[in-house]
Amino acid sequence: MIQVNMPAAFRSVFGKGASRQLRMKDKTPAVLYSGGADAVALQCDAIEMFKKLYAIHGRNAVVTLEIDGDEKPQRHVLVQEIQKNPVTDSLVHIDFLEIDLEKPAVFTVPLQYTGTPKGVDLGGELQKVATAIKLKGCPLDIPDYVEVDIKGLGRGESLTFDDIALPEKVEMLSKRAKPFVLVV
Amino acid sequence: MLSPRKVKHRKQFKGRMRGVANRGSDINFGDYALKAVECGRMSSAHIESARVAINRKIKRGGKMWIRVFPDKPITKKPAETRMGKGKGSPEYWVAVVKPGKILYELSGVPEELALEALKLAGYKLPFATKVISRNSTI
Repeated sequence: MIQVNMPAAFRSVFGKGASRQLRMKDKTPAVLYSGGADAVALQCDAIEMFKKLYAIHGRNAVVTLEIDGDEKPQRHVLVQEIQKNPVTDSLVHIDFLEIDLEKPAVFTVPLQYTGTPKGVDLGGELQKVATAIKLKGCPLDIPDYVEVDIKGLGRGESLTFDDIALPEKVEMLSKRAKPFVLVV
Repeated sequence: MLSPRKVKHRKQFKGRMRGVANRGSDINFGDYALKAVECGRMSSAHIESARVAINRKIKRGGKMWIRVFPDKPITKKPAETRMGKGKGSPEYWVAVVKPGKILYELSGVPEELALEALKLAGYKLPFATKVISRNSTI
C-alpha cells in the first residue's frame, strides 16, 4: 500500500458560512476522527490536497497527516470520504479516519487483469464480473493492487477468487468459489 | 422509446430546475461518462437519439449504461385551439436533468473511441455536457 504525506492545520471556525469563506481562500475544511477519540476539525490547502488525492485516486493509501502544532508529530489516516462539487469537481470537505498500522482492517483492493485470453482470440467475449477484491490485513501488508493473469483462459472457462495468489499475512474475505472473470 | 409503464397521476406541474445533481453525479458502472453541466429536460427522443449515436460509433463490443429515465409527462394543447378548457393532453416524457448528472456511462471500449462516441451523443442533447473518465478526477 502506498504512503503519502499531507500537511494540514487545525481549524477554529465551524459552520456553513465560515466553511464557505475558507473555500474562497482556497482552503478545504476537513475532519479527523478515530474510534473513541474526539473528532478534530482541520483545514488543508485545496490545490495541494487535490493534487495529492488525485495521485492516490482509486488506490488504497495510508496518508501521514502532519498537523501544525499537533502534540503527535504524525498521524496515520485513511481517506474515508471526499465531498466534491458535482459540476466543477472542486473539493468541498474531506473525512480522515485515524488508524493503527499494527491492527488488521478490511480493504477493497482493485484487480488488475493482464494479457488477452486465448478464448477472446477465438471469438469469445471477456466478462469481468469483479473489479476489486476484499482483503483483511495490516494496512502496510495490503498490496496496492492484485494482478490476475488471464492469458490462459479459453472459451467457456472462468477464474474464481480461489485462483488468486495473495501475499502472506493477508486474508481474503470475498467468496472463494465465486467466479470473477470468464470468457463466453 | 423509454416511458413509464404505469403512473399515479397522468399530468404533472411544470416545476423548476434549481440546484445541482447531488445524486447520480459519480461514475458508478463504466469507465467513461457523459455529464450534464447545465440543467434541462431530456426527452425520451433525446435519450434514444444519443444512445443510437453512441452505438453507431462504437459499433460492437463494450457496455453502455443509461443513467436517466424520462418519468415526467409533458402536456401540450392541440394546434389552433383557443385558450382555456383545461390542461392539454400528455404528449411526451422527459427526464429533468440538473448540472452534474451523469447521463451515459461506457466501458469495454478503447478510450479514444469512448470519448468520441460520448462527444457525438452530447451534440444530440439540448444542454451543455462534458465527457469525463474515471481517471480524470478524484
